[in-house]
Amino acid sequence: MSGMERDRKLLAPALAVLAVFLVLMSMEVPWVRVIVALGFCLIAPGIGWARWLGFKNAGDTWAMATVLSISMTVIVATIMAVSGLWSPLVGFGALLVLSILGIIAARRRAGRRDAGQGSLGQVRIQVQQVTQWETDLVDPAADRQSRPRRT
Amino acid sequence: MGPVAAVLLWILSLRHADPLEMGAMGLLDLFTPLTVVALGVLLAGFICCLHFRRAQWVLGTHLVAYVLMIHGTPPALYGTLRYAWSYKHVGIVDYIMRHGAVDPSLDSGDIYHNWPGFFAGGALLTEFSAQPDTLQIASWAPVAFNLLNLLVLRFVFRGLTRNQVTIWLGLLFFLMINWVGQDYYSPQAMAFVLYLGLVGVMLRPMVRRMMILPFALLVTAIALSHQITPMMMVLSVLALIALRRTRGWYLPVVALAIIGGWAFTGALSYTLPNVMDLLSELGNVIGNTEQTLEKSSGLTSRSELQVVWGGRITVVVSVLVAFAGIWRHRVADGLLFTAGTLMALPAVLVLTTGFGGEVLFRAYLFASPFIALLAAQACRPRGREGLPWRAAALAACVALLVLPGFLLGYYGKEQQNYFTPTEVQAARWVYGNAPSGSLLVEGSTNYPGRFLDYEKFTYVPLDREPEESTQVMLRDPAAKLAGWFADPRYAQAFVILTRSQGIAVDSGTSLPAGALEDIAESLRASPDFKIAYEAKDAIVFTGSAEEDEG
Repeated sequence: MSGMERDRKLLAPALAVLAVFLVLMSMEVPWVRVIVALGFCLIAPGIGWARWLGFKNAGDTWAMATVLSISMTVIVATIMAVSGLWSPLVGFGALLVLSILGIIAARRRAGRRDAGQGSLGQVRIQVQQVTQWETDLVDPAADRQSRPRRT
Repeated sequence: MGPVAAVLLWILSLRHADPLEMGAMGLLDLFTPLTVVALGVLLAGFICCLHFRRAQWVLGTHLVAYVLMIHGTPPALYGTLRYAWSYKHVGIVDYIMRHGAVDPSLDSGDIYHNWPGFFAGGALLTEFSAQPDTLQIASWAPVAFNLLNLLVLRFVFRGLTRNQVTIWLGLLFFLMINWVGQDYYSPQAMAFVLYLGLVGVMLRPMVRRMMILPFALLVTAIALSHQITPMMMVLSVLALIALRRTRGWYLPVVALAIIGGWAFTGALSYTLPNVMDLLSELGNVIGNTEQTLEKSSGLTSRSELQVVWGGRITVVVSVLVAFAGIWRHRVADGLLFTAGTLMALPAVLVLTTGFGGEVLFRAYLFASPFIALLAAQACRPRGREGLPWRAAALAACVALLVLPGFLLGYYGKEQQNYFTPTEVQAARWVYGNAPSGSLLVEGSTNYPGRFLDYEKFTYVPLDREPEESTQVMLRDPAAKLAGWFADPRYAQAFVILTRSQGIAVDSGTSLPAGALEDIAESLRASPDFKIAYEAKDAIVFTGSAEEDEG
């Protein structure tokens, strides 16, 4: 699947998520707003950048997305508070821009990978992983054996 | 089914619990046999799932249920935000929302204005949530922070080992030994999550130019938010580079540049006057340690001592089991050296600062993830797969040894940490009615205080007065306080006395037990004072010469 095809396929779900987000944010139910706002601050700004980092495990990607999102929210809010230019709307816009930039960066990296670019770096990572895991991080036999069975 | 059954049993066991019935053992006083059964079902289920190698989401569900039960109970049961410091932090968020800025030159709360990252982020979240204040969000912060800790700690542990038994058992042990209560609505709770994320990033093989982005972002967010976490962060970065777990000699330089850059620009008004205090604590290990230990030195009642020693026993047991883990796997596992180093490193903090009597707690907090991981290693059999029954029994024994101490340490002070809705209402009345520039005399700082318009008032907690002043006040409270009330610097003056202040004073040493009741009686009887607000758990006095505010 080419990058453009994949982008087209992703457009509809992305718009759907955005629509649901906007509907939920416009609701007057306080706890819904809190959960949606928390979800936005904890996930949106960092998810693209976490995917850009290319972790293989979904849990690792979510963990990275969370800490990056918290960091970006803190940095954007601090800049506004310290400069005295406090505006929740501008803060939201800035975080949205960072979210979109992250998604674009992740898409471009995925596109480059599809096109075969960057493979030199990936080979190097794999070698580094194998070397570390097998020589001094874990006993690979125990590692293989201890994986839980799928249920 | 296990987690659902455990949660239902837990709810059933505490459905009639009344937080006002908490005694010297805190929330443990409300436990019933069914509560213990609920915990037992959950922990037994988790260990069985590890033994039978169930899917990771099943293991994760057990831990999420544990977090909801342990950390969700206070907000669900109390209906108010717990812990006095949380209210102070809500007050800083309130300031940023009202002013749209911070003021590092303020006398009160200046440290927060100099490291405002967490509070500014909290203000932005509150604005997005369309909430009038942060009280509701802050109430559930311990649940949120512990869930985040789980997610990020799994990421860290996966950087050290791919053995699922070690990872999941380590996560369980972390939740069961981390009793120090640094998960409330606070900068350190958020900075701890970010610190773990940074360690996780550095434990992963990654192209260096890609690592610099998350590294710089995390360091910046930590440097903007907290004072002690950056110290720990620099130590860990240096250690991981020295151990060659990550490459990039420039990473510590980048970290120091960011931390120093903020400390000597944005936080300059705090850093410069306090740098000598920091230097004076450098190397004073005994003094720094004593600052923490002396907090519990005045405790004499059996229950209070049980609470203190419960936490300490959990520390001792978990560290001993962690050492057993290092010993058992000393030949096979390379992770031990890295995890052991990260476990030992927080001890360096004690060399550098007392951190207001908190340093031992903070050092244990930073060590606890790696203590937990190594304790999990102790339970894993050498050269055998999975978690056989014998190893499972060992894991259960460790859990049973640390859990009581955890519950004592974490829940044991809830009698002080709980505030009734009427106490919150009384404080809200004072902040809503006292004119700007008023003097607010508090029986103690242990009440829901300073969460609204906090910068407009001058606060005098009676339990922090010098001994000489306290003696004069105790002889004739009305006369002493009338003198303060007559001070023309203040627009008006109020005395606020609440139930939770009384509990704090009675368990402390600065004022005799029952002192606040005596003060209230003296003010009631004095013609110089009148009651401005009275509710079941709180009373507010003002000068009788003042205009009627009620």
